[in-house]
Amino acid sequence: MTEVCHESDASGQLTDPVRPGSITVALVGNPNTGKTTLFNKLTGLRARTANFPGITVDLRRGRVELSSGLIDVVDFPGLYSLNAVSPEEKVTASALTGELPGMPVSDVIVLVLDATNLERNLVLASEVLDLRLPTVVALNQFDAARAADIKIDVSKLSDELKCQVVPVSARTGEGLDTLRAAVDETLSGKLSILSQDHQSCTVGCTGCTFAARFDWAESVTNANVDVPATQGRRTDAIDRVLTRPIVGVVAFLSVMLAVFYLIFSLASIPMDLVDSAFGAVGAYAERLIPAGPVSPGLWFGAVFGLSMGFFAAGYAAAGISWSRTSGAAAIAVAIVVSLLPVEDFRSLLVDGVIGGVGGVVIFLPQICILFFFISLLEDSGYMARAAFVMERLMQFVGLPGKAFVPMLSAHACAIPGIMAARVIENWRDRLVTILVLPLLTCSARLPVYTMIAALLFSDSPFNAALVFVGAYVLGIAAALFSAWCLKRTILRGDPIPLVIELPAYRVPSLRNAVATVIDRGTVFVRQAGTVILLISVILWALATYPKLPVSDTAQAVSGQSSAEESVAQEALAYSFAGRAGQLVEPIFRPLGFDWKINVAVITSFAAREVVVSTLAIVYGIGEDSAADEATLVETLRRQNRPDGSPVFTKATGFSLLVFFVLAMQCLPTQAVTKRETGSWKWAVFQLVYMSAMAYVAALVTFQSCTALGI
Amino acid sequence: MSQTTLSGAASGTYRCIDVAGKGEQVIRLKRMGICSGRRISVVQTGDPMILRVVGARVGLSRELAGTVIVESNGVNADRGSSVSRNGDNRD
Repeated sequence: MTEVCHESDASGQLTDPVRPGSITVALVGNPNTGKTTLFNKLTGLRARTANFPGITVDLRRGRVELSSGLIDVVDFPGLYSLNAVSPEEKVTASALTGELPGMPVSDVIVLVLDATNLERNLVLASEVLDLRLPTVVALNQFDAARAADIKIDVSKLSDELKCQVVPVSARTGEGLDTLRAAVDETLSGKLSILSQDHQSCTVGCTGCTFAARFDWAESVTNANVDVPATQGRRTDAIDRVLTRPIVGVVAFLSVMLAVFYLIFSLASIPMDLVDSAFGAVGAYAERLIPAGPVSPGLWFGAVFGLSMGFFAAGYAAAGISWSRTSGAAAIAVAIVVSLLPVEDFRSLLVDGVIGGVGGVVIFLPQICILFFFISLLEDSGYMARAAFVMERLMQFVGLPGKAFVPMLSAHACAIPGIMAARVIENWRDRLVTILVLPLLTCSARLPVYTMIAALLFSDSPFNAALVFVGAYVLGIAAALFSAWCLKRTILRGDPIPLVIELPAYRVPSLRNAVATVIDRGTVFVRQAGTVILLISVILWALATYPKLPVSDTAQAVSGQSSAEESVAQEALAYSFAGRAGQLVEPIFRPLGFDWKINVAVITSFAAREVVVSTLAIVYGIGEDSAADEATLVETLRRQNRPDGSPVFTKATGFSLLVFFVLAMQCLPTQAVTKRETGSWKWAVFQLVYMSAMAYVAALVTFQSCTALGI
Repeated sequence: MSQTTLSGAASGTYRCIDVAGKGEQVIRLKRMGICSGRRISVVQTGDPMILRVVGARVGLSRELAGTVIVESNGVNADRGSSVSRNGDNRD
C-alpha cells in the first residue's frame, strides 16, 4: 500500500507508477462483462496504456471527472477468480491484494457484473467483497437483461452484498451518472461499507471454496433474480452451426479470408500515402538544406537545436527520463551531428532519420486495420468460437486453438500477430507462439519474393507462382516445426487442455474497436519506433562511413559511363557495411552468396525489404531503379563471379529465397518481441535461432541444388 | 443415478460430484463452474465438447472432461439430434 514510487528502474525506463496521493478507481470483473466498454465510456478515448515495472501486461488508465475532483480509473484485465492462472489475471489479483510493486491498492473498486448472467459473476464478486475494500457494484448490460425479461431486485441484492449496486448500461450510457455519484460517495466515506460480513458460507468452510461460493451465488441469484427459460436461445442456435467440427473451421477460415481481403485492399491506400508523404518530406528536407556555404556558427546552432529536439521527442516517446547519462548522450550525439559536413547531414536526415521513421510508420495501417477487425470479432464473442474449432488442429503442434489467430495475423505482419498472442492464457504457449510468428510470410517479404521469383523464372509465370506458394508453405512448415521443437526442448510442457467460456453473441462496439486501434498503434509507434530510429541511424552510418577518398571517387567516375551510380556503388563497397560483406564472404560462400549479396543481407537486417534497393546500389544500378524490377533483374542476371560463372544461378536464387523466408531481418518485430516478453533475452533468442535455421536451410538448398546440377 | 466422467457423457443434464484433476487445471475448471454441486448440461459432444454451466456456455477438451465426475440426473436427459450428428457418443 505504501510502496514508494521509483523514479526509474535499472534500465532507465520510466516506470510510470500511480502518482502518490492521487485517487484511483479500479475496474474489475469477469471477462465478457462489458467492462472495457464501460471504461471507454467513462474515460472517453483519451485513455492511455501504462507500463508497470516487471510486468508485461498492459493496464489502460484514464481520467474521470467527479464532483470530488479528477480521479484515475484503471481497467484491469478480466478474471474469473482471484485464483489467477494467466499473467494478466495474476496482475489483477495481485493489484487487488496490494502485492503489485509500485501500485497502491485502489481507493475504490468498481466491480463490474454482467446482469444477464449474474450467478456466474457473483463468484468473483464474493471473492472481491471478501477483501473488504471500498466497493461499488456496477450491474452492467442492464438494458440487455431487461430486454431478455430478466428481473433483478436491485435493492435486495444491494442489501445482500452489503454494498451499493448500480444498474448501468455501458453501451447506452444509462446509469453512468448514478455510478459516478456512487463512487464519489464511497470515496468521501459517506457509506458504511462492509462493516459486517456479506456472507458466511465461506467462513469455516473446509471443503472446496469454489463449491461454497457457487452455492452462495446460486442462493443469492435465486432470491433476487428471475431468469426466463428462453435465456440464451439465440446464441445456442448460432453455435449449432459455428462450432460444428468441419463447418465451424470452414466458417472461421471464410471470416478470416474476408478480414485479410479487407486488410490488403484497405491498407494499400494509407501505405502508399505514408510512402509518398515520407518521400515528400525527405525531398523537402533535402531542398531546405542550403547547398552553398553557410555561417558555421549558425549551422552548428541550428543543427544542434534540431538534434536535441529529436532526442527530446524520442525520449518522451520511449519513456526515457532525462538523467545525467541520457542527457550527456543526447548532447554528445547532437554535437557530433552538428559537426558533420553538410552533405553527410543531408544524407543522415533524409536516408537515416526520415527513411527510418517512414520504414516504421509504413507498418501502421496494417496493424491498425488488423486490430480493428480483431477487436470487432473479439467483442462479438466470435473469437472464442474460433479458438474452440481450431483447438484440435493446433494441438498437433502442442499449441492451443487461441494461437491460430495470431498465426494468421502474422501473414499480414508479425507485429500485430505478436501483440495478439496475449489472448493465450498460458505463458509458455504464448512465448512459443511469439517466437515462431516471424517465420510466417509477412507482406514485407513480398517484394523480396517477387524479385527472386522474377530472377529464377521470368519466362514462366507458373513456375514463379510456384515459388511464391513454396515460400509460404516453407514459412508455415518452419513455424509449426519450430513450435513443435520448442515445446519439446527449452519450453517443454504438456499442451494445456481447453477450458473456454463461449460468451453470448452480441453486437460489437465500434468505440471499443477505435480505442483498441489507438492503443495498439500508439504502443507500436512509441516502443518500436524509437528503437528502430536508433538502429536505422546506426545502419546508415555503417553504410556511409568511412567515406570513399576523393581520388577514388574521381577514378570511379572516369572509368564508368553512369557516374552517380558507380560512385554510390564504390562508396558502399568502401564503407563498413561493404567491408563486412567482404569479411563474411567465406561464411556465406557455401550458400552461394557473393560479397555483394552479403552487403544486402547486412543492410536488410532492420527491414528485409531493403535487400532489393541495396542489391540495386551494390550492383551499380542506382537506388531509384530498384523500383523498375525488369532493369534490376536483368542486371542481376548479367553478374558474373571472378571466375566468369554467373552469380545468380538457380541454386543461388533458391538459396537466397530460403534464407529470406527463414531469417529474422526485421527490427520492429524484435522490438515488439522484447516488449511482449519483457526482456531482450527472447528477442535475441528469436534472432539467433531464426538466423541459424536460415543459414542451415540455405546451405542445404544451395549444396543440394548444385549437386543435382540445378 | 450412475456416476461417470463427462468425457463419455451424452447430451443431457448432470450433477457434478467431483473434479479429480490436479493443480492449475482444477482451478481452471472450478472457476468456470465445473465444480461439485453444479448442474452441468452437455450441449454438444465431441472433442472439444460444449457444456452449459452456471448460465454460460463453456468449451471443454475431452481430456479435461475425463477428470470431471458427474452423476446423471435421470431427468432432462435430452438425447437430441446433436448427439447422433456428431457420432461421438462413446460410453
